[in-house]
Amino acid sequence: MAIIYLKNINKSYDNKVVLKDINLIINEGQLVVLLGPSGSGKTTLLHGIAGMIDFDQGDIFFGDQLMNHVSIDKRNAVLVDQNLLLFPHMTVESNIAFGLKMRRVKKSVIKQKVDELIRLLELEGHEKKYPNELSGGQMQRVAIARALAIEPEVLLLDEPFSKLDIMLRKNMQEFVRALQKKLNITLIMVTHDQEEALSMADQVALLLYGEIKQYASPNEIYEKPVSKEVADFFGVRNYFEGKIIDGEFHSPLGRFSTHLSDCEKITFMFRPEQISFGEKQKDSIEGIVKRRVYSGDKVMYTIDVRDFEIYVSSFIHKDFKVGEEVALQANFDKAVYFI
Amino acid sequence: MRVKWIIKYIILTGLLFPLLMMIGWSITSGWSWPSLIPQGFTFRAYSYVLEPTTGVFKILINSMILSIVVTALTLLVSIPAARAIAFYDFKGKSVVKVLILLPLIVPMLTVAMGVHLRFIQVGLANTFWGVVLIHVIPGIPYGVKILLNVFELNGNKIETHARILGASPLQVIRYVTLPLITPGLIIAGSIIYIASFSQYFITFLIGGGRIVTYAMFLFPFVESGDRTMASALSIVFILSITLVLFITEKIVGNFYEKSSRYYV
Repeated sequence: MAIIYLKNINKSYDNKVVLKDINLIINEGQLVVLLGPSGSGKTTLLHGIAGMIDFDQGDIFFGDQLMNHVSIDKRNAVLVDQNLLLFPHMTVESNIAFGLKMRRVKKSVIKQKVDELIRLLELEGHEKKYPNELSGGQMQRVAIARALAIEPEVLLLDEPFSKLDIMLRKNMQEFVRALQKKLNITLIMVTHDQEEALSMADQVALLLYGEIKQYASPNEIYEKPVSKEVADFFGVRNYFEGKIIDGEFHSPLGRFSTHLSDCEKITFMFRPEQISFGEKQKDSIEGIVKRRVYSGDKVMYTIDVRDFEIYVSSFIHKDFKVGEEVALQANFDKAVYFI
Repeated sequence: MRVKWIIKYIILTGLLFPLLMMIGWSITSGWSWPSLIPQGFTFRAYSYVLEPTTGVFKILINSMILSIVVTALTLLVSIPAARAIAFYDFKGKSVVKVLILLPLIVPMLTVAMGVHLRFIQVGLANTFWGVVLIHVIPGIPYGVKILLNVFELNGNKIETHARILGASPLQVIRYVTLPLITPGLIIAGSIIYIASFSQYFITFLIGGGRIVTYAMFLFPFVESGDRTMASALSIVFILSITLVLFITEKIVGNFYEKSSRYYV
């Protein structure tokens, strides 16, 4: 069941288009990630769903209810800002209870709900503390508990883990993911970190320049990008253009056998890790190592092949020096291509 | 370390010395050059202050009530003004920012004399509320300027967040805005209170001598050269201000949980 439906959303600031014809359907209980570089409009979209800004055009539906003119406090879509914005003058308990208190819920009910959330978010022992006495991860959990307290239709997270250090970030990602599944809540999250998006999401919407370029499962968006832009974002570096004649791919780099049928123009794409070093043989591409960048677990090579640059990443046990001649292997049968 | 210690005590002595002189003067019958300590002890000034028939305390209490009303009214005007300047863009905002400071630049006497005529016309001259209104004017620059900084520091994101969590605009003010600006309110309020409590001439002009504040009561003693009386009354003046500030800090601090937790 679609719980959130965005229809033809447009938004511009000072004649600069921020969001362009956004259409998005989010199903109940899903974790959807809006992925994109800074300035792609993802946060604007999230703020619009929360009701913090109005879109210029387009409709937002929660279920079958039109939400365009529902005010921010009645929307039941709660945003957790990247700055968390906990109330500094309230204890952890009062922070979590805030939304319920504003709704004039009975004290005993609030108490019960707060206790439940404290347990759920593993904040036992911190009830009476103030936000400035908490660690980054604890503050994050308080902010999420505060949002969950009012049982929102949808929980919105804006770059929730960007300020945490790497270890804590991984923990919180797993924690939030597990929590979302356990409570079966609908969650929309904004991030610029593709790894975070791919590891957490049910569905990823890639936003570039205010447009949704692809909306698919993590697996699909990574394996089968629909355009070069999407492929670029997910780390594809090598594109081979050419045509196929009689089961052979003709390109400036040479000829390679393929099972694909003939076509006039085709582009194959390879991630740096999809090309490997090998022995010199019929299908191999020969070139010279131009650059070598060491990055811990991997080495990234730039290989010069007849005025082309091919990017190859390799594990450390195969080490080549700059200037060395190498042979590369690429599997055109398994590669993703555009026609 | 040693130098730091010495500097600390020099500053402390510099601040306390005039106060010690004043205490000395308030209990002496004469203190002439070149003696280092006062000659002759008298309790004349304090018995005057404590004597019910002289009405010192009545004037003091009246004066405190006046200044408290002035402070409340000034803050009431300053909060929305400061918030608007901090968060909204409107035409002539920079001009307004300068105009706010005008009462500090233009002598209050000029303002009071200009306003006096109008006050006579509308019947505010020689009344409590007339004096209150004229005291509000010099308080506004302090109120708006301090609160403006507090609002700019806090930002309004946290208020928007309270709205997202379901708070109505009024609830936001009650539960979020006011608690967050409380430290600023205490500081601004203290300065406004002191400024009002110390006003002499504009009170005299607008109050027409019917509204007698403590500063007005004190002035003739200073002018006539009765140092013993002037010193004793000044000490009472200082004590009363300290007392008010102390009580405010206590009440407000307790009301909004622990004041040390604020960001500002």
